Amino acid sequence: MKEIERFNERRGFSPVVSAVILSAVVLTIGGVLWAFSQSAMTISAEDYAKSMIEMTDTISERFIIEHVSYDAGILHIWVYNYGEVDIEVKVTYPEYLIWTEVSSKDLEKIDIIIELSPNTAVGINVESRRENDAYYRFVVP
Amino acid sequence: MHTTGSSCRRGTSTLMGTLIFIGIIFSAFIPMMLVMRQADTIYEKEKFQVGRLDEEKAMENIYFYLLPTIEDEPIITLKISNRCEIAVRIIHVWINGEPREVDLLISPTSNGELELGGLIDPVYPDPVSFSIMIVTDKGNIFLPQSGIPTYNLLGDGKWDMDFYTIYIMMLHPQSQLHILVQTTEKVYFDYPVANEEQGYAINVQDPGTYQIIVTKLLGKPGEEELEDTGFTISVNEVNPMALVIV
Repeated sequence: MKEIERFNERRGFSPVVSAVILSAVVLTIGGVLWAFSQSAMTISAEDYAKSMIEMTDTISERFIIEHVSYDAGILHIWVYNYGEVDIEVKVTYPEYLIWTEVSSKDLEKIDIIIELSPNTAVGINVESRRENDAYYRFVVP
Repeated sequence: MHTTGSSCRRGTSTLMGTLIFIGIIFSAFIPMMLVMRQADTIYEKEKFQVGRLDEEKAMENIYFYLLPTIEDEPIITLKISNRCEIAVRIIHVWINGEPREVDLLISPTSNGELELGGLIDPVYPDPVSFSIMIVTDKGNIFLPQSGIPTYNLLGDGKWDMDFYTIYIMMLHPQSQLHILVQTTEKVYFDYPVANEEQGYAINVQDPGTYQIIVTKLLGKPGEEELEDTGFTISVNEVNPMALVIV
C-alpha cells in the first residue's frame, strides 16, 4: 500500500522527464537531419551548377581551322578561337598528343613535323577537351 | 490525465518536427532550388547568345576585290562590300599563307577599304602572285571575287596585267539589273544580271574611258519602272582596275 502511494508521488516527474527526453530526441534527430539535408543539398546544388557551367562552356566553344600550310617537313595548322571561352585543342590527324591552349579570340599556330608527299590529301581534325571538333581538308602542294 | 500528458508530449514533438521540416525547406531546399534555377538561367542565356552568334555567322556575306593601288609598288587595296544586315568586323587578312592582324568594322550594306603594303619579300620567287583571303571575327573566311594579281619584281617592277578590268559590284543583289559597258566605238557588255549574282568582272583589252549604264527595274510586277544610272570611268596602265558600286 505504501509502495503504491510512493509510486503515485513519483508519477509527477515522469511526464516532464519523458517530455524532455522526447524533445531531446526530436531535436537531435531533427538537427542531424537538418545538417545532413543542408550539406547534401548544398553539394547537389554545387554539382548541378558546376555541370551546367561546364555544359555552358561546351556549347560556347567556337573554333575553326583557319589555314593549313606545309613547308619543309612541317605542317602548320592555324586554329582561330572565335568563341567566348578559352579552349585546349589537339590535332587528331596525324595523332598529335600535345594539347595547345587557344585563348578566346586568339589565332594559334600548331606546328607538326611530318613527312608528306606532294598532292597528298590530308584530313585534319582538331578536337577540343570538351569534345568539339573542326575539320579541314588540305592537299599538300 | 494520463492521456492528456501523452497528447501534450506528442504535440510538442509534432510542433518541433514541423519547425525542423520548415527549417530544412527554407535553409536547404529553397536555396538549392534557387542555385539550380540560376544555373539554368545562365545556361539558357548562353544558349541563346551562342544561337544568335551562329545565326549572325550564317548571315555574314561579304564580297571583296583586290585592286592594285599604285602601279609601281606592291600595294593592294581590298575593296570590301558588306552585303548583310549586320556589321562585319574583319580581323585577319591572309596574304600568301601569312596572317596579318587588322581591325576593320564595316556597317551593314556599306563598303570598306583595306590597304595592304609591304607585300614583297625578297626571298619569294619572282614573279609574286597574291593569294588573299579575309577572316571575320565570327569565323567566316572569304575569298576575293577578282583574279589574283601578279607582281613582277625583277622585270619592270609593275603589276602583271594582260587586260584591264572593270568590276561592277551590286550592293543589292535582289534588284533586277541590266548592265551596259561601252566606249564610243564598241559595246563590251550588254546583259541582264541574274538576281543571285553579286558582281561582275568585265575584262577589256584597251585602255580608255568607258561608259557604264546600269538599268534598275523597280516596283511591283506589272508596274515596273526603269531607273538608269550612268558612270564614266577610265582604265589604263596607272589604274588597271576600276570598281563601280551599284
